[in-house]
Amino acid sequence: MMSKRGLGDIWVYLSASPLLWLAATLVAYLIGVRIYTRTNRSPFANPVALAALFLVILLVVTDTPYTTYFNGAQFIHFLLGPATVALAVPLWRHRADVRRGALPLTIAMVAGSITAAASAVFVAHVLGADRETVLSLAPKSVTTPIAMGISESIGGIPSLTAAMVMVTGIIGAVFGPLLLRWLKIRDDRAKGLSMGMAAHGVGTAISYTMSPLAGSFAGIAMALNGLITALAVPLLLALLL
Amino acid sequence: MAFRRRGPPYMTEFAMVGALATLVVCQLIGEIVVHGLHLPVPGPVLGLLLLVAWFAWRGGPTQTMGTTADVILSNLSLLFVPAAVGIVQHGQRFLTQGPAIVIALFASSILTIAVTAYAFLWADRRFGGTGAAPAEPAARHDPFDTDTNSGTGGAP
Repeated sequence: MMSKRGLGDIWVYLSASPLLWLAATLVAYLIGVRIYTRTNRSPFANPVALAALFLVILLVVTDTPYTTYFNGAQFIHFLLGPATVALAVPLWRHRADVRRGALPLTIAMVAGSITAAASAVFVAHVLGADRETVLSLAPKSVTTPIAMGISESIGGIPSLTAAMVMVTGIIGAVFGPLLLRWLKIRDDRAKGLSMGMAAHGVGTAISYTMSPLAGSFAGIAMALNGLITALAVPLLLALLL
Repeated sequence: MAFRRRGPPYMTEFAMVGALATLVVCQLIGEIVVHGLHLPVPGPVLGLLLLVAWFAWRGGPTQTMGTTADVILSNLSLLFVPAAVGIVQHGQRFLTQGPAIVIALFASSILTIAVTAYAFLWADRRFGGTGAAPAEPAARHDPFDTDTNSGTGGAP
């Protein structure tokens, strides 16, 4: 038998420990995956979006600050680094495709990178978003760690940029496959490249489910978009604003 | 799974640790170089390039490295959940400027995908000279189906 006081104590203890939020993240993701598979992999039931939604509701309801949550979730977040390095494996497996397509790849990535930053900044500016928001938007298609660095150097808010990067990833994961089907693009390289370009790692994860070739091209786009955007965004902002 | 049972089991268990260590050490070297030289690249991206160079030198990844990478990359989506929850910190701004932000992100994502895909297809036809795209049937590793990940390796 547990008294109310005892339960309260357990909650106070657990809610501050990394274990609870690590477990919550894993369970939320598993529920997201279950819904995703149950809906026949509808892009609208994206597991990352669903898991984040459940966890945001949980944090708001229990009045838990994000820093407390992140204390537990950081163990999962940390694996992004080694996972990025692991992209070397598909890249190596498809090295022949990559070498053959080096020039088209470069052209597409420069075009995509400039489109991503310029269009986001332009639309947000026209719709009356404030300066900080607009600047934080510029690197939104880049993978989180690089995007935050770019945001800081151009006067944006790094944590706001991180949030926008995630919204972008989810938009890309939900609407990207539909758009590619609608545009009748069947080349796996073009699919992966565009998904990785617009939606970084989240797009890469989705491309992986299309085919390993699409996944590795998405990985290349994600890795190099960071580099191109870091160089292009300061120039672009000088021109646009 | 059957092929794993042929050799001493500890060999494959340690090989997995070796693959993980390789990934982490590549990232570490990447971070050290990036911070030492103030490069505008993130450490893991440099680590990725390092690992490709390592594969080129060694003639490719070991089978365990291949399996380890496939397992990690098949679950890539999970790794983005903690960052996605970070949106909760900016609720106020999303409430006041939400429409502008979401419309900008949506329009930009659609444009970026279309421009990148068409630019690649155009440039590939113009400069690639390879003709048809290499066709690949379906994902070998289905990240949301835990049953299909076995049996890909073949006997050593």
